[in-house]
Amino acid sequence: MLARIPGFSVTGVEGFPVIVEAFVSGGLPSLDVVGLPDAAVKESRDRVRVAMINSGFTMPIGRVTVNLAPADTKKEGPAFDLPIAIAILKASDQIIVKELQDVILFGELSLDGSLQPVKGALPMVISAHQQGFKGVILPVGNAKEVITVQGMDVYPAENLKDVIYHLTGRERIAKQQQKSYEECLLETVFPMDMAEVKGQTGARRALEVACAGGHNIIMIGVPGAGKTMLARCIPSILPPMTYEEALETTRIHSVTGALRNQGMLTARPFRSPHHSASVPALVGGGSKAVPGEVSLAHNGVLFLDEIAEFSKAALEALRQPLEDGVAAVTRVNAKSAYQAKCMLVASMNPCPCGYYGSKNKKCRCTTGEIRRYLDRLSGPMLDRIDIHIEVDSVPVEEIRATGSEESSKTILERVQAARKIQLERFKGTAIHCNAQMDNKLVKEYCRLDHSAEALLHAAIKGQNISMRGYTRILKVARTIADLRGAKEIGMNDVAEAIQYRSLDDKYWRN
Amino acid sequence: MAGFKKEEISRIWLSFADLPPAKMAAILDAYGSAFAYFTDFNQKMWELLPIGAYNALTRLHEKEALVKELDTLHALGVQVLTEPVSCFQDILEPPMILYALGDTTLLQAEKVISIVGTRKATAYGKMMAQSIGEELAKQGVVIANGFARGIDSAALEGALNGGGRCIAFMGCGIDSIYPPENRELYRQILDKGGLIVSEYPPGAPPSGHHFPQRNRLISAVADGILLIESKPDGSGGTITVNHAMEQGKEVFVLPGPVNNELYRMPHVLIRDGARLVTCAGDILEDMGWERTEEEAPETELTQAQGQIVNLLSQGDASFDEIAEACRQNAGDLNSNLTILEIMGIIKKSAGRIYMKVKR
Repeated sequence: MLARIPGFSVTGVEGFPVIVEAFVSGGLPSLDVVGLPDAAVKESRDRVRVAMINSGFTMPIGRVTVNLAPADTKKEGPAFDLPIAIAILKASDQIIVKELQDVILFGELSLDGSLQPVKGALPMVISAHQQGFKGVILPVGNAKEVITVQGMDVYPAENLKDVIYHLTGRERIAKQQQKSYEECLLETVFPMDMAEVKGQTGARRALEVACAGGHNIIMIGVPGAGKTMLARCIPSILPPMTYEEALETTRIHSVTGALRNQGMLTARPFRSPHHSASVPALVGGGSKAVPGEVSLAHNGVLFLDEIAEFSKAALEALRQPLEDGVAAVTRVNAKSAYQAKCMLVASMNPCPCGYYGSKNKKCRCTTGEIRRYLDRLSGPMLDRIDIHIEVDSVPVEEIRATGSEESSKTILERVQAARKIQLERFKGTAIHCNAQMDNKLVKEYCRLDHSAEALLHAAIKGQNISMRGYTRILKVARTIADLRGAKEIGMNDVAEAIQYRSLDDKYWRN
Repeated sequence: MAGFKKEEISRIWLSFADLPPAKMAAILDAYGSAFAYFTDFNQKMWELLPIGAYNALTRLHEKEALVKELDTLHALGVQVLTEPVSCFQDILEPPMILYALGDTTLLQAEKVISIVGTRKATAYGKMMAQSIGEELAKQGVVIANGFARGIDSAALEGALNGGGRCIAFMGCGIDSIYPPENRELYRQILDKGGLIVSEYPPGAPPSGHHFPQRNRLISAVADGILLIESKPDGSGGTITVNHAMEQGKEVFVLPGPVNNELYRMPHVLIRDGARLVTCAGDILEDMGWERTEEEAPETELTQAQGQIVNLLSQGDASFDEIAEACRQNAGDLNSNLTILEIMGIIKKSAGRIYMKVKR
């Protein structure tokens, strides 16, 4: 008898249906899997056989052929274990499947018959839903990930036996209670809150401005100044992700398998790759073209701690994704474009020894050394960073002081108000925050009155501000005005924005 | 060999030997002229010269090699000064030759002050060098020094800002820019009618022994020298001061914190009778130079800005310290600081530490 069971697979961040066919014929006992399976799929023969036996069934005696259709697409991963097992059991008449209308199956089998979570559950379920499937049987470990997908019946199964009981109508698995995204949002917990950051008045303000306008930011400071701590707070003062954003981000995390036993991502991701990261690790790659850190940070924060220590090649490779919001990965056997719209947050020491400009410790670097250190950040890279801020270490007394600082929630309210103004402004265009304005839009929305213009020109003359710094200042000034809720950019807004160009300052150069 | 006199060529030739000034003076004394030495130069001379000098002189004794060097000079547009320059006439070891780019009349300028100091300067030192350099330049004073990192560069930069002219004494050939990060400064000095000058032929590397040698010229060209920060012993600044005292020049010193070792030497000098200087006006007064008062535009400060200035006049402070002390929110403070910075009342240094510039 021929059995057909619907399964699913993933390419890039999209799922596609795979029909698992099984047929038992006479001949020497064997089990063959055809249809471009990779090593993990081939190995499923052994897992399936043992899992079936340990669940109280037998491997049919005869020649078993399993086909994964369409046969011209590569299949990977152990997600086919479950449909293969069910197909073989059905083909060998050991079970009579009653309940399998418009329902897909996936899951990895353990030798004892229990189901293990797999990569890419969310994209598979979303694609299945779009293609008209009504339900899914999946490992318990993947259930939380798909909790917000509406219109799908989700049956989380513990083991092979549960699935068989369900399919034969003996004992149905309880449907998972799906939740709305709003409900999930309420459960969001941020690892860090701005209230925990003591002092740092200047840096706090800079972060607020950066988040309000979606500006990339670099923090320069002595070791131990609290740059990393500040960066970790950023997700908590960014507006919450919309459902679409959350889906996009969770999908990417899902295909890398980073989500095991985790639910939908509601907090914006915070990724901080180590500075030894390779180019493929950052932008994506490998023979299967998997997403890199910049894509995992999609809709969130990519934090490059000690950015000067990253390899030149890695930083240069980041430029294109940061600009386009998409990381295109091309390999011989695979080609994918992963979304990568993220806010870049970088930190670095002011000099090789780390103490240039410190009040407490003497710097022992020469001017040349400092310059060479800063020059590790190429001009084009620096060009993508709107805000530079110097962070000083906080005196011990202040850290131990009990007075509480402003919490993330209060800051977030102001950020959201500013973002709302921007959404209104860019209605009908592809962009949604000030940082994304191109030169044309800057000209349109960042008009300066006479006094502000004069101030900016005086600053350009006196300080070392380049022409590209000029546009950055205008954008940041626009955000500062938005934070005030003001329509026009005032002189004070420009004046404040000028403070965020630290790296243009002369004292780095001599 | 077009354009050069025999004596000039001979001195150019001799300058490639890179001999100490005393040795060169001795040779000129003994032979009467460089040309006489050139004609007399032969293989037996090796006993009397360091091997490097002997080799260089032998190589360039060939006409072809020498012509090539002269052509280089010509191509670079270098002026060669072999006639005695008035300001160097009376010093112990006057330069045998000077290579120059720019306006050589500056060597006879009426008012010249050399501002010298350490290469590893503090932010305060650099700020003062720059502001005094600028003020003096505005009063028509020519600023001279050794074009080194730190204080020297800051003073030259200030002078250029003030629309003044500068003399830079290089420790290498005038065609090489050392320290290399001063490329822009080098260009500006020439653009703004300044002078780059050196005893060493074009192509000479910035060798360690050149720097103390050229210090005697830095003090000789000036009417007075201002020392800003100096390492305790044997530093370039100290050497220049010693030359200045031997040459009978006025020595000015900027005071600083007593716990900073860069100020130990300056304070010793003050105790020994050097003139203490807190601003450009002090120097002008001591030199008896007239001062054209430039009416400073009355700057109106807001209350918040005034508060910041008051705080900074008691000492430097970081952004967070100012925010704490003045109780201003970060946004307003940012814009006030920028405005004060543009007015030139305060200055930002590394670590986002602000300091007051004007008194």
